[in-house]
Amino acid sequence: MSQRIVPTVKRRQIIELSESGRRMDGRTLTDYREVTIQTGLVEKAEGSALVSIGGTKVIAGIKFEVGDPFPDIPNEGVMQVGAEFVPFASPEFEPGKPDEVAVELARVVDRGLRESKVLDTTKLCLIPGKKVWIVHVDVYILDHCGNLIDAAALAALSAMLTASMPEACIEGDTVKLTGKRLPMPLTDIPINITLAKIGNKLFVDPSFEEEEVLDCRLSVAFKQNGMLCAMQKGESGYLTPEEVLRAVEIAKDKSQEIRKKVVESLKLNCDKVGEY
Amino acid sequence: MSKTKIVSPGEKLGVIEEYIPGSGTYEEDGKIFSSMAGELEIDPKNRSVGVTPSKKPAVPEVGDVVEGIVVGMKEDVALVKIVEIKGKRPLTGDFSAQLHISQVSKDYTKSIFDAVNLNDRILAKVTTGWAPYQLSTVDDDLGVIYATCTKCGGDLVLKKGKLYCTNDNISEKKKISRLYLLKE
Amino acid sequence: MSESKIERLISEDGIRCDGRRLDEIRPIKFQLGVLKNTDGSAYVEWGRTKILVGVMGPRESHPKHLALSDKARVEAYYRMASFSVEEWKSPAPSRREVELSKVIREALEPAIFVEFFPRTSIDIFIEVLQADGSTRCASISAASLALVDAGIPMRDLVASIAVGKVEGKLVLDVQDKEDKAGESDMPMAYMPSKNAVTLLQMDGQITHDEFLQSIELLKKGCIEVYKKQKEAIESHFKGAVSNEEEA
Repeated sequence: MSQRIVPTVKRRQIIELSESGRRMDGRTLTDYREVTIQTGLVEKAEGSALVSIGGTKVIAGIKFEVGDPFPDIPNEGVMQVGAEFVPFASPEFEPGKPDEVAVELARVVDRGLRESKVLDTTKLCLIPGKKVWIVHVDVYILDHCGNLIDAAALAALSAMLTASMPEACIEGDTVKLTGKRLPMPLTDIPINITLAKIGNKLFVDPSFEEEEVLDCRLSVAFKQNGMLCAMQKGESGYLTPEEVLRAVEIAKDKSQEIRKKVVESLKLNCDKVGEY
Repeated sequence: MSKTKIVSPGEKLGVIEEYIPGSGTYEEDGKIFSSMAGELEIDPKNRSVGVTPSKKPAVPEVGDVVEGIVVGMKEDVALVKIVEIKGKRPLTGDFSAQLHISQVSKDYTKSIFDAVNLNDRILAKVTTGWAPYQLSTVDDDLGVIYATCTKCGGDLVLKKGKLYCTNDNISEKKKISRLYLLKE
Repeated sequence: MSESKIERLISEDGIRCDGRRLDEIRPIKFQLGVLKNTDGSAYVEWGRTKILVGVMGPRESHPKHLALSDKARVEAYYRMASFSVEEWKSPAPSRREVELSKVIREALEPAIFVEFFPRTSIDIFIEVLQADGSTRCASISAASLALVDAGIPMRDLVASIAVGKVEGKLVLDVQDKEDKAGESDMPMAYMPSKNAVTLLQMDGQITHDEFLQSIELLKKGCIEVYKKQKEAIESHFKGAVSNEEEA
């Protein structure tokens, strides 16, 4: 992704079309592409979800592991988010160690989940100060048709919302698994919404071709109660403060729409979340 | 002399109805802004405004005289690594350049090997604005300023218009600069 | 998160633990041209945060296939010295450093006339010597001065600052103690004369109203930092002139 040929012609087309409020794929500027969520695909994972946003496909899996706590929070479990770009997802992806794009993606997803306190890590302590649950949330990008951040965040969230955790019993200093399953200690349903700025217009849920010509993007995550919990501007363009305010406004509306979609397709009992 | 005014990038200097934007400035929506930190210079006669920075980027520009090392030889071209731009600050990297056989001298050069060879240190003038920079050694001051013997590695010394090896006295043909460093 | 009785970070009358008001920035001192072997450099002391920035370039891109045909390639390398934080930090770049390098680059690139230097690289090396909060803001602000010092043409200076939420109140320019105990952190980079936001991040929890207030506070803070940057440029040039006169 180091060298991106900017298709100036396409950029001009996209901008011209946006003047009348339309986009190359027929959407309006605030339309989100169709979202589908499929969970429980990977039985060996404690939770998994395959999410598509238009042609973009991302799978997330959750694994539990008994491990050592961080010294500064000895009585809390640990959540770790990773992102892998599978080379077949785009000709731009190269095999090998994750580059800065993958690192940024993982960290933005991580912040959205962590800051909303979606997972109550205080409930993941096994032996105080010694053993805790490490929750690995790994996101694999399978097909890149734009807006990886939202897709990855949605996949990670859906996997988490439908995961169950192993039950453990403590015998002295050892942790034994009972083989039974417990519900996850969940407290929120954070939704991340990304907008692209192209010319002087904001595009909700940018497609791959829009991302190729964008000035910059802004991702905003919202909690269920409408509070903002994470934000990230990316790429080398800029926004005016007024555009930032407008983007947040639009993202707030969109987050409610997508959350509704998540709740419906996962058949969640919304009141249940936060009760654990 | 009037008191100098120091401006910073982004500072508005005027509008295009007032001034012609000069070096160190840029124009946007009819307004002129500084693109550099430096002294503001207003030329009332030409109605131009410019900013003189204390430093400029040390990149080769057309007309610059550069010092380089020959790092490769092809059929008609010598590949040169620019290590110094005369009159500019020391480089933090080097720049790739090429000397084509047609740009060696006023006279016909039969082979590029008659002009320069691997590891020669040369002075040359830059004739294009981006890498790989094209070079010319046509002027008398330009050409090889230091070279070693291709056989034994000994220094070559300039004697009566020709280069001779200090060890075995064999002469080598080159496009020699008037400023060649070792003279008898 | 610790259960121990935490000291209050903001007093009843709105004074913070280091004596500042809620909307007051720390003492900031920029200095240009502090390194000999770079094309441009700057040093900043931002409260107890101390950062050195060196710019190399425009110079030929290595490896060559990474060069861009129509503009300079800008790279930022944000690194923390192993001794810059309470506990020893491995010198190998962490994921945080990789991400910060990326967003710092993206915060600075809109300011640089990259199109003037095709096929070259501009490398921005940032070494955090001591970290006491807001290191990315201090890095961006100092790096834009290092770019100025290198004589690289720029549209504007990039000024940066962070707003945090501490004990339910919005505070400008968070230091480490406030960042660790705070409920949120929101750094922004801004080109005041272009009205352009080039970096914006947030973590923690804030309401929409608090977000609106934060943006206002951030703009005010960035303009204060911008003034300090301009002062540093002026004193750098005045210093250069008086040195010449002495010589």
